[in-house]
Amino acid sequence: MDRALTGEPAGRPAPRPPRTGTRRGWSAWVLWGLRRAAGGIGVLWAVATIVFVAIRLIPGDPALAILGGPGSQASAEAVEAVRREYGLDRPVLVQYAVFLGRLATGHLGDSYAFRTPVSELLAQQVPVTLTLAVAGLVVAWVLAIGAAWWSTQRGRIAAALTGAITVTASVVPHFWLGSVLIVVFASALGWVPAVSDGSLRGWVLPVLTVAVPVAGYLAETVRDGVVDAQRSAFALAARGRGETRVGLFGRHLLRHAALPGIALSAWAFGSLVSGAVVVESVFALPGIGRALVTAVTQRDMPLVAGIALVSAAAYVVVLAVADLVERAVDPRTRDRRPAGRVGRVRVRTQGRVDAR
Amino acid sequence: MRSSERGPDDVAGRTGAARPVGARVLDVRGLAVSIDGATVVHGVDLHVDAGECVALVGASGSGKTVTARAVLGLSAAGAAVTADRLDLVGSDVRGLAERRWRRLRGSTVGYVGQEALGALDPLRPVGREVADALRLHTDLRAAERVDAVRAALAGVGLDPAMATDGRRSGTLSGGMRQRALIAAATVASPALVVADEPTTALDAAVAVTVMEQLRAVQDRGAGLLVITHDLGLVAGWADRVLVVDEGTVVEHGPVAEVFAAPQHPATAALVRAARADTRRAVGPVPGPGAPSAPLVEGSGLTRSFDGVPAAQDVSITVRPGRVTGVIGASGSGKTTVARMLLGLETPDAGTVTLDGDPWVPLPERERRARRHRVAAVVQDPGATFDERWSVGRVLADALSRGQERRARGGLADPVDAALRQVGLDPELRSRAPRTLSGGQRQRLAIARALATSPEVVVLDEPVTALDATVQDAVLTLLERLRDETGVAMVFVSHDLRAVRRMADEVLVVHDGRVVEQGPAERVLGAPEHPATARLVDAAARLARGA
Amino acid sequence: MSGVLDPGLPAGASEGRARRSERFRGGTLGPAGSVAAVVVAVAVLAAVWPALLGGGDPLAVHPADALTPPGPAHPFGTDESGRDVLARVVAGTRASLVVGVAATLVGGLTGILLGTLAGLGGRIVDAVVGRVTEVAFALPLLLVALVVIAVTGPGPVPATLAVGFATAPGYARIVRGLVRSARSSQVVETAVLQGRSPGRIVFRHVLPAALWPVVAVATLGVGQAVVWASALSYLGVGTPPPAPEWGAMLADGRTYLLTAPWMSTFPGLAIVVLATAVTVLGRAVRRTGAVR
Repeated sequence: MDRALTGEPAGRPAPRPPRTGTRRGWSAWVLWGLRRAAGGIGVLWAVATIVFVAIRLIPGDPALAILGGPGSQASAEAVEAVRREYGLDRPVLVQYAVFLGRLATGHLGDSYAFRTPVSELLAQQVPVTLTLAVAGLVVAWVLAIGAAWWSTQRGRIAAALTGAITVTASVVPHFWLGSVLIVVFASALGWVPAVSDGSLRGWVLPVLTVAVPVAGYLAETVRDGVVDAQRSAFALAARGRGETRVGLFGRHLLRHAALPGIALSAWAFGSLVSGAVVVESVFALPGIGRALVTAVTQRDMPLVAGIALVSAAAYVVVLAVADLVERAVDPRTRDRRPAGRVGRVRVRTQGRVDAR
Repeated sequence: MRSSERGPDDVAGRTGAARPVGARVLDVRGLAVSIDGATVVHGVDLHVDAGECVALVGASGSGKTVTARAVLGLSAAGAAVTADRLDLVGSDVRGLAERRWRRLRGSTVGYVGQEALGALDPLRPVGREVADALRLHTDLRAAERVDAVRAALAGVGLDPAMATDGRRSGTLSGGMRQRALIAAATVASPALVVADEPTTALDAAVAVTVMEQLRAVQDRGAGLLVITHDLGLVAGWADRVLVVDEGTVVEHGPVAEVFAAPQHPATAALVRAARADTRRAVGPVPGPGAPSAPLVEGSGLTRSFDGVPAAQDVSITVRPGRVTGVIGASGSGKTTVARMLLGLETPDAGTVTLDGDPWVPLPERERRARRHRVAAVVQDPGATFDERWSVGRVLADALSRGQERRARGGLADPVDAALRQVGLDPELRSRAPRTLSGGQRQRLAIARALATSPEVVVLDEPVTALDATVQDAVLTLLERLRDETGVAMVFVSHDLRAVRRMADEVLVVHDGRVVEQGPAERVLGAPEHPATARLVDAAARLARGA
Repeated sequence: MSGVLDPGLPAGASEGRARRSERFRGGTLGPAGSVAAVVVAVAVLAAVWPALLGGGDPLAVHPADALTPPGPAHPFGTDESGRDVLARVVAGTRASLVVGVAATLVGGLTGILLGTLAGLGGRIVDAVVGRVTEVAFALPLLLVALVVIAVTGPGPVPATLAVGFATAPGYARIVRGLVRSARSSQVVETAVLQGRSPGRIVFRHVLPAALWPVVAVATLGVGQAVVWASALSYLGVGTPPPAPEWGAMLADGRTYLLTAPWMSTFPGLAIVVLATAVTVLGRAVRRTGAVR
């Protein structure tokens, strides 16, 4: 064979020749890390500023809140003293600067309502919420992949049934699902405790409750991806080689279908946290959920700021992880322009606009 | 290079030294396939022996792909396949369960699919894709598999290191991907290999190597079934040919006979399309008098993408009423040149003038008023039609230059006339372009391009994506329009047959540079530059089957 | 001129399997879509004319009948104040639907505005809007909603605004992507080649291509909005009691979960059924729009 004839450069129909995949060196990773860190800090700063502004907009006097709520019969001197003590009498910009300064050095301050350092409170509560959110995401993925398998590989009845279940699941409200699960599995069947008692079994229902709505939506996306991939030329070629159904699903289809789901998971993490908050109140879990509502209504700025910042930080980390996972699953991203931006829009993942 | 070079004598000469054939690897009698109740294929008889190459030729929609897929058990969902006989290497595969089919595919019958660009999973290393058949059908250990894959890759002319270096298909060119697919389909030495349109979207040089790989497979003792729409492609490579039209075999026999004396009209159309490569110039061919002033002149055009040069110092002159062909292998930069002429890409260096006035580089708003003088036709027009617009609206918009609301009512007749001019039935006015066939869409694109009576039309691979018979028809249309309207054309293509028909002058692009140019007859008949010679030679070899 | 028709496919013939799968079976909406449409119609009716569907005053208190299980007199039972659960569920439809639709409108329009800006604008505008949406995404919906409501006080309007602004970034991101891909599409390139002005290209080609899919997304969004509005009521920051609102009813019912489960079951079912119906209807409508 005459190789001279085939010396053509990579010939895609598009006019521009594609780059060959270069392995990223250490320097590229460092740059990536720096870029993400810079972006993350920017987000955190913006969040802190928004929290500062928002809290100031809430009606009511924070000094009164510190003293025990609007109903407390605090004397004018006590209010003045509190004001001075907490620096509430200084100009706004100074308060802002102090606020930022404390945050930058890691001092989240003391909660007005609970009179304990915010970092202590968060250290106790945040892990619970985050565990719930992460476990929920993992379970949601397992369910979603299972649903995708059932709705694409098992015939039309299974597909219709699974489709109906996923659609319903994606709009089930957490608080209702939690109650139903408690009634069925805890009271009636007694398999698991109704409220969390610290045991592993006590986590089953809360995690399921958080996972189901996300699983519903993920399942839709993954299923769409599988159906799409099934029609592709490489699926046909694999079948032409005698690939088994499971092999085709696991080796080819799932990887392609999971890509939009990874981006979706990142966006959905915020929604998971919100869901976790609601679920905590249903199952009496000691997470940040219970503190959040009080903190907002009582203008407990340090606590609100702390929660908001922790959520934002978690979100930044999750985005970075999602980016990593995406690169691992889809090596083509290595060859593309480095994605400093927060993820590309997957137009196909329409629908989940409340993914916060 | 005359068509007789590819005529029956040549082909007969090759098949004169008959290939030794072995046992029957595929035996099909009375095959019928219906999809969703509609009969798509009926009464098909076909057989392939070991060591022979059988071609199944027909236009799109004739049923040839459905037939091939039925032979593999890969029919679409909802398809009902019946046959009096369907034997694969002697065993009856009618009504075989999917699980049993999976054992046959890849081991007994190999499949090289249609869409080479997408047939390798972009997320998996190519080495693994090639090794799949071995993993599924043999007991070889991992190390042994790697050795077999390396041998297979070397056998198709690819770097054996690809077996383990984790390279993915995105870094391979179209030709390399197709060869990798052949390796993947044949690594387990199947007795029958089915190749569906193996050379689509590949230029002649690459197509030759792909066909050579398939011949090597054939030489190793496998039977080869090639599906294609282009009789000219298989005339030189196949032993026997079956012509499929409207779901049934209308003619069959040794290639030379069918080529020399086609009986059925469908076959005649295919032969005509395969032969048509000479100029049927009816209009006045400008003699060697004083050349008219250039209409479009590009000089020193240079463009790089991300540091990779796509075009370097390209100069091209288009004269009124003349057709300038631009040829070159895939990736040589011809499309970039075309896009720069149209102002869609800004060159890093160089200029383009239209009738002496600056054209590129220029802010678009200064070009807008003159846009009607330049038109474009691309390879796949489907994506250029707004999917909410009907055929009539597309033309009304083009004819009125975007002002169709003002010209309301007065456009019905011009639209009909435009449709008829390109051979489309005015009844198609209310249809969506999406529902037209590939050839009809291209005719619509041509009508749209000519609607403003441009002075020059830039065509980038206008017929490459079409069936051979449809290519023939569209090229005939373009010839007629060229003669009737006297429009100048820039015809960019890697298909020398088409350029030979259409062009007065030819520019040869290689690695982004113009390496040769001159009158078409001279450049293509007696090429001087080695790159040109390679292109011409490849086209000839592809046709001849050498 | 011979007027020879193209020897390609006959008119209307499908070019392969891809075309075939685009054909839908059954009526315009399909079986699931039709059922969903009926459910949504019933819900709209309940919102507009509650008396027609569920007898009784949702606020009427009958302490003597408190916590009665479902029966002929009270098909859904009564709550802890003796109020008829059926009447309250029906009455609550209006609040849910209105808030759901309004929140989606607020979020959708804001998102479309931002997304179009980012999509059509240059790199700087895109970067700025991108950063803004990034930050918006970083804040959990509940936090935003709570803060909004703390600032303005509870009620249906703040709940609407809260859910609306919380969902806007999602729409913005989708619209931006659609606008960007439409901008670089071959349709637009062809229009440039034909000499069309940028304004005409944007309004004729880019915006329609980008905005129609958003309508489909928005119908799915209504379902989500209904659920989140109920969540806010559940947490006690939505419509103040004793107004009949599904989320609040679920909160009330929690205390009596084991003794009077019907207090929670029916409002919860109502949320699920309405949200599912809206989602399925939206999907069915999208499918009919896709195939013409």
